[in-house]
Amino acid sequence: MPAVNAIKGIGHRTINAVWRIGVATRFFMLTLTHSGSGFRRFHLIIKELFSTGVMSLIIIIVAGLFVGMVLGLQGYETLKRYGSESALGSMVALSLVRELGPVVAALLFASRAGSAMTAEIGLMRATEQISAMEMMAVNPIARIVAPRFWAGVISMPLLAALFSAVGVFGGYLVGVVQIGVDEGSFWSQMQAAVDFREDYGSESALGSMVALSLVRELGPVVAALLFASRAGSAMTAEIGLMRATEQISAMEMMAVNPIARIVAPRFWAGVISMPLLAALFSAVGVFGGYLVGVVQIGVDEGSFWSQMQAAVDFREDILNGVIKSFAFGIVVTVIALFEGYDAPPTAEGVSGATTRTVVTSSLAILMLDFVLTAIMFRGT
Amino acid sequence: MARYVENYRCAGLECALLIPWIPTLSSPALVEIRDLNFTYDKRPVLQGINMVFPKGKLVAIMGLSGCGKTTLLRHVGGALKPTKGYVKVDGRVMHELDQDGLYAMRRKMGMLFQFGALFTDMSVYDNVAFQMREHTDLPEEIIHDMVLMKLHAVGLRGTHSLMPSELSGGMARRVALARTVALDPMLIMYDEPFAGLDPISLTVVGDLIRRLNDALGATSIIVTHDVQESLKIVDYVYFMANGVIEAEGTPDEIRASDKEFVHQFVHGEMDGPVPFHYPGGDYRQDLNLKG
Repeated sequence: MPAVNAIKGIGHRTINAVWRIGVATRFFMLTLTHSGSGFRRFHLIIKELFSTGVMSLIIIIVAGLFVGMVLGLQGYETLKRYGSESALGSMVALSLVRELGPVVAALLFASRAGSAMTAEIGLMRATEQISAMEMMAVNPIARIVAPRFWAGVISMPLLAALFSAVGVFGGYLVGVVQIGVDEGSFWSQMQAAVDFREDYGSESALGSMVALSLVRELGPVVAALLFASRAGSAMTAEIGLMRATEQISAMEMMAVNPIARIVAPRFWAGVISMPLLAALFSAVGVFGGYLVGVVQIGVDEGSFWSQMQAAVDFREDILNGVIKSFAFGIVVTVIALFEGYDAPPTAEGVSGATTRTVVTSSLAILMLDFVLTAIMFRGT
Repeated sequence: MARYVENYRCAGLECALLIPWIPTLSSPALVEIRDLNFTYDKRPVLQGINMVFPKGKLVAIMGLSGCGKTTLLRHVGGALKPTKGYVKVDGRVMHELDQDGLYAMRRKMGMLFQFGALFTDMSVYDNVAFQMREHTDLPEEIIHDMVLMKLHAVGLRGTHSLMPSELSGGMARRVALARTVALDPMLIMYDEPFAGLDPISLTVVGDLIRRLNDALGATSIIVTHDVQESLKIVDYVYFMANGVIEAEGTPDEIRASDKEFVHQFVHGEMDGPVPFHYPGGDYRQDLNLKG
């Protein structure tokens, strides 16, 4: 009865998922109702603001700079095709403020501060600190959860704004200082950016826009960022725990090389799966663009696909995207494995290493992306 | 036992008020457990438990891992609700209290967790000061003096500026002990206080448990499977196995007990009522032997 079992499994998982959503919602309501003491004793929130917001500053600023610089390069290349290089400023600013700023900043925030929070509270539960607090008649939701919640709510928009601002500066550096777009038009067009879409007047180019940005840029980069937070952090945690529980020492004592047995297989798994995941991401992304652009907004279907085919060059765009994601796969996996293998053999050490994995690999992805983009454009 | 009575019973002002140690435990009960049953996932964890913890006494609950002793302790702390029966602390039935009543009750209790459960993001000083700051409006100077006195009592005044990660296992347990008694609780619960300690720390912690109980005039419950160390310090012992009380008595009675289970436990024998082999199928069949 495999079919019945499969249906049972689906039902079971669905019920479980709905149940968890319910529990999480109740938890959220509890957090809100217990926020009072956090605001009365605001220093509790300030302390968390430091560890979530301030500690995320470096990754947000560096990432914003590199994303802006890549946008400058990519935007210039795309806009040149339509002869509107002068719109670079507005292009950079709009993509950052509307889309990349909030989204990428939130992704980085989730991997840096979010994962650290989960690990911290999880460890507090594992070491009975939360039970201890309850036994001391202090409500852990009010004392631990609520201050962290409000710290996140306050710091997230500030970080996104900072990300966009630094990104615009990065776009300026590449577009104006390096490539030599006119400085005046860069800033003035940016200020007039609300009119950007009408000026541009090429809605039919939507297909090529979506496909190009996905295949060249967003596909490899966002897929790699997600890969780092999902698979990279899991790898670090797994290997770190193996070390903490002396499984790696045991393997060495059994004369089995842990690098060969544990590290190498995971490395190649990462290198192989990363480009495939990035390709899948781009394909699904193009379909998403089609759904919204053609089906919902009503852009002409024929021109959507034909412009896409005309604009996307196999070698220059798709192959470059694949090369990028190969490079990202190598970097992310190596960082994850190294951090896990090198983690201090304690629970705190492992959770710290997990956070470092995500932070380091996110930064590495965005920096490498800029370097690779610059090399690839020089090549053409 | 006698050593502790001589050394500590008359150490402070309380000595005049302390009822002399009586094997029958006739002093009034601070904690009373009546017909306690607890079922988890249809599995009975506790069955018909009756226990009495008289004021001023140090009582141990012993048994193998998984016999339900930690579950029992969580009932006393009000963290679990019984399926049947009740736990009464200081005249109040724990599971009938609402959140505020429970928290008010817990302010008068202290609990030492298995590995201390010190807050890793706070210094030793802040850990001990935690409850004073959360529950009282005392000025910081008074908290300062109280914290140092508590730390001095466990011999670790010099560590107040360290973080928990900088302490050894035994020191962390003693700091946690200082935090547990920070507000002078009337009831102190210990969940495996001897787990993972070296022999010296073991003696130190055992000694502190006895002395703090007597100096504070508190009542203590120790959940443990460390027989030798706890028999040295406690007044009374309950033995649990598979969710029921198997035996009870004073340390001397337990040592002399001829009950098979108690004898195996106290002397750490390999085989007995608790078998060496986990129940399995026929050995010959498992190995596919013919004939």
